[in-house]
Amino acid sequence: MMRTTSRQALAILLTALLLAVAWQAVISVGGWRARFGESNYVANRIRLEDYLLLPAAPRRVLVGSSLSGRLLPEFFAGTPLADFATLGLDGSIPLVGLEALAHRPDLPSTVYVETYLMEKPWSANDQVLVDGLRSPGTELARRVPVTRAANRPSSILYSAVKARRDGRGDGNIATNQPSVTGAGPVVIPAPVVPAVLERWRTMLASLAQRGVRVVLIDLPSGETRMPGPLASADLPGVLAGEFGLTRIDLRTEWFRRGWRPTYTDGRHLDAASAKATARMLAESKF
Amino acid sequence: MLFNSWTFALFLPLVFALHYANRRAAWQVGVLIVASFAFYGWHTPWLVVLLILSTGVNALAAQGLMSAHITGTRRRGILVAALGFNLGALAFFKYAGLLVRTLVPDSLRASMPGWFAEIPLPIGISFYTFQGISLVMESWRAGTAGFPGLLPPRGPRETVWFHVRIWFFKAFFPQLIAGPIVKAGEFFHQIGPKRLSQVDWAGAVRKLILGFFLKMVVADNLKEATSVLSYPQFLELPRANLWLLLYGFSFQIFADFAGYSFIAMGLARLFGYELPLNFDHPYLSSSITEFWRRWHLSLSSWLREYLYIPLGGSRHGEARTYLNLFLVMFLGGLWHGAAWSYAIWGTAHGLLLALERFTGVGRFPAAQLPPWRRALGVAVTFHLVSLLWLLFQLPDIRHAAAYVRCLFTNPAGLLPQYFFVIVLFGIPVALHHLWGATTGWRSRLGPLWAGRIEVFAYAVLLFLIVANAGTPGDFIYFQF
Repeated sequence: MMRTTSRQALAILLTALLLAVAWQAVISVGGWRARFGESNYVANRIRLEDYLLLPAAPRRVLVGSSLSGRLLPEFFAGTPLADFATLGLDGSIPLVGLEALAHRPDLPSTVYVETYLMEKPWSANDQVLVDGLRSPGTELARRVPVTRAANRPSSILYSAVKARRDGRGDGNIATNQPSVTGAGPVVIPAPVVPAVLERWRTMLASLAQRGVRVVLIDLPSGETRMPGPLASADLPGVLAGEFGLTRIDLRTEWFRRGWRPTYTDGRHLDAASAKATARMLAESKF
Repeated sequence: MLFNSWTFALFLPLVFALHYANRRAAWQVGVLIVASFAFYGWHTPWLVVLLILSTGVNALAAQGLMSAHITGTRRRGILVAALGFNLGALAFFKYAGLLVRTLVPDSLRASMPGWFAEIPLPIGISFYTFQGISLVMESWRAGTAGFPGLLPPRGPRETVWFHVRIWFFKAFFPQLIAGPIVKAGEFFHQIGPKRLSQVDWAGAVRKLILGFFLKMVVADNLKEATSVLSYPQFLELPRANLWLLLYGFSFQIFADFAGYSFIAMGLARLFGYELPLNFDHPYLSSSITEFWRRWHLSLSSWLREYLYIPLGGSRHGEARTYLNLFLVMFLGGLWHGAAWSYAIWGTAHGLLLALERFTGVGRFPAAQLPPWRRALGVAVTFHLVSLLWLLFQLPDIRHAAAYVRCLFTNPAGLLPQYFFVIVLFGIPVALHHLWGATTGWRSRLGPLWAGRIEVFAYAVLLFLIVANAGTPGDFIYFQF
């Protein structure tokens, strides 16, 4: 009995191995890879693994939420910020992107930190992403391509369907969505949570110690932040003062130039505005 | 420790190797007991204290109930005390908050210590407490005769072995946290020396692959999409998406819980033990009556044996039968958690069971129904069950009612991302049920082809576990 059942079990394992090899061969030959994830988690894993698998760390990295995700590296081509990577993670806070930087042996010289969700506490979703980074799964993804998020069959299918539906696959931007101009909903900054402030202090001190320059950037978010009694809750301002960080306000820059950014959904920049924002950042020379 | 964690991937081969390192039953059972306690207390060590207490009390009660020296009132006293202990522990850890919120006036509640309303729920307590009750009830019924695999001890050596076996029964890690709920009579006779050469590798691997696939590929990929099935997020969604989410959550809860159960069965089989089947293609059910013969079978079986039959079952007339059905399902609902939404969920199932009994629906075996009647029954039952699952995601009955209203009144349209995820990861659930419905057809292919199809199908599942797992996370039924 042992021989029969162990032979069947072995047949299952070997056939699965063959399928994995065949799949890897097919996607390598066909040049297939997922550019989009069917969930935030998968989309973020793709971005994180792409960053970790770069042969060398880019000189400049933008970390932040999905707002940053719209500023694709190719938008910086031909600008002084050409060697640029974006770690804009859907629904995540910039600290997750900063955590990812430490999972490479080399570091960028400058990190641009999106200020939009800086005061948001660490969420369960952020924890899942960071746990994933710290797990053996990340090392496995480095060594065994079939385990990479970009090689998931469902994500490759999703990317193909989405690219076909959107007309062309240009990064995160759903080009068939109408562009919207407007202030969007009003958001009042939440008071700074001491634990969040402490986490930022530890992270920024660690980056400074390792010679990484941090620049804070305010991106247009389609929302108007209200100044007033809670203005003291401006965490980026507090940290910029404390660590002597440069802060570039691209949100105000748009209006200073007399332009109006446009959004795909009232919050995320559309392709044209994202390109213009990238150029503004490049012109700021930081 | 989670089955789908890297820690467990190291833990399992270590325990497996230690278990088969010696052929003596005492060694093997000892290894599994130590491993089970390490498994249980891995993240929260204090939980082990509770498990030790529960196991110790139940073991002593079982010994007392089987003792020839304890009879009459004293014996009955042990039964009452043991049941009181088990139900009391469950009530304290699980229902204290609900009871306080329901029974104690606001003015008095303010003066109570805050922790009383926020007692943490020890993981798996509902499962191992029910196993403890099963042990006590079986010992009570068996008395001095004992039952297969657990005889009253004679002498100190037998007493130690008696207790060791009970500790093993209560703590065996594959089923400790989320079942299947094993009844004492199903397990003790299996305890004995196990040989590596007797391991049913194919059976174990098939169960493990199916379980991990349902959890990691289906449930974990559906999880993020179905997370919008919450108030007030759903209010703005197009109605087609709301229907999709309803189906998606049905697929997810099945894949998550059945996945856990199949993993538990596969793990137990690696160590030479057979756990009862917990899910038998439940969405093929053509009535609610049939659904409860296919869904969470170990709980249904437990409730029938230790609650429905002792209450009189169907032996005391129609009215009493309806009352018993209603009561069992109400308590079965509450077993899931300390919230009235679970009680309503159980009660609704109880009412549907009573209605089916009254109208005669579900009386005939599904195989005897004409195909159109069976298909209609499957569709209606699936929708009823799915609508009732809403109460698991929307515990406020007003929100659940609003969801049902939105299913019909929200604007048309479709958000393609949800559509893609729910359809793509719902297909395996449908195929799993189709697989169950075509067992007879596959057997007609002959063992060679049936075997080849099976090997290929499981290999595809294993490949997808490696290449297409979703967001890692807990099992839904851990919260119960």
